[in-house]
Amino acid sequence: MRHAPASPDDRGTPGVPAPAAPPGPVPPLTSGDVMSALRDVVDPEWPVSIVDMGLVHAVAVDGGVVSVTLTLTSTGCPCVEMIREDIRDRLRRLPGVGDVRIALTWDPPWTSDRLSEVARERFRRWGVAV
Amino acid sequence: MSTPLLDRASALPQDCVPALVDLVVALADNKHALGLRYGEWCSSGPTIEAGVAATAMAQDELGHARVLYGLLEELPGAPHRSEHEWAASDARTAAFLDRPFPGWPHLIVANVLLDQALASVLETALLSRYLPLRQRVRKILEEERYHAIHGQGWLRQLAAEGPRVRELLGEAVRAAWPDALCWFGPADGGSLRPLVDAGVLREAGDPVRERFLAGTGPLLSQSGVAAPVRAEGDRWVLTEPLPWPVWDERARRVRGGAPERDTR
Repeated sequence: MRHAPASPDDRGTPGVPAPAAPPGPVPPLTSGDVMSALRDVVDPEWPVSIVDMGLVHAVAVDGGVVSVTLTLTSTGCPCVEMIREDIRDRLRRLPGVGDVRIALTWDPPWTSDRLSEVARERFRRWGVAV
Repeated sequence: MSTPLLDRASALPQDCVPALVDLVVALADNKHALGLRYGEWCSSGPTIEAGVAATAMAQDELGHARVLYGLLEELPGAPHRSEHEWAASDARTAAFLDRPFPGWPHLIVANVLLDQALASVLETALLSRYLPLRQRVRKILEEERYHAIHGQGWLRQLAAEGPRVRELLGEAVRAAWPDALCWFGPADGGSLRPLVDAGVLREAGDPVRERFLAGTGPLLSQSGVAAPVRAEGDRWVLTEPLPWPVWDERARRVRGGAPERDTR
């Protein structure tokens, strides 16, 4: 948490720890926070985040409820439950999140155009054509 | 002015809901059954690559079934179906899928005829007014493009091996033909007609069948595989009537079960 710089009079005695600042209000969760957290969720088949894979279509925050609209690279993706569970686990660790709702969409369909430059660079390094 | 989209089941005209339920159940059940049948060849295709392809197609078909079963959840009167609760006795599938394929040529014929017949029906929903269906179809058809390429390539390759293999292919075509060609419905679409009228499907019946034959007829003919279809001018037409008296519109299969197979 960031605090405003202390005033000269608040500096306390050198060598003596300053009293802990009282906890401030938790800033409201934003879509950006959710997207950042989703960067920690890795596609089970490739060590690339689901955000860089282009699997996250949209996120929305409504109070403590986070909604994620997700697509998959193929309809038969065998990892769908694993990905859902990893998303829930990660987002529930965000302060203020009470419920995580995940909806699957197939429109527009996933194509390799949705890969980020980070993902493309990794695939190139692994010798995978994208 | 464009026709408004129907974004939920309650917006559908009531008279087309039972037809849509029957169609989705039959599409999804056939895809599930195809997935299981393809899957039986994961490690026993004629080459390692063929087994890998069968595996990939099996995974796709099971995925398509899962995506389509999801449509049933909001359709009133729809039976409960899921990929985890497959009850073959209750399934509405083509007779050709009732038993394991006796050989690779049968898998390829299922790939060319049944898989692509289902894709042809789904193609008529690409711009469906019913949004939940439309949102699923594009992805399924993108994956089906590769199944079509696989089937066409293998059919040509097998047929080139000689008259005995072409004969086997012809027998499989004859067995799969009635269900595949009847799937589009009778001339005016039959039970699919209300779905066309409501804009859920673009068309049904003869126009879809003719387009299917325009692709399949030349493939079979050029490969030397016997099939009841011939060129007539710039069209491909049936040389034998389809068995409409024994076609079950609701189950979308020819009554009487699977024909006995020659497993030579």
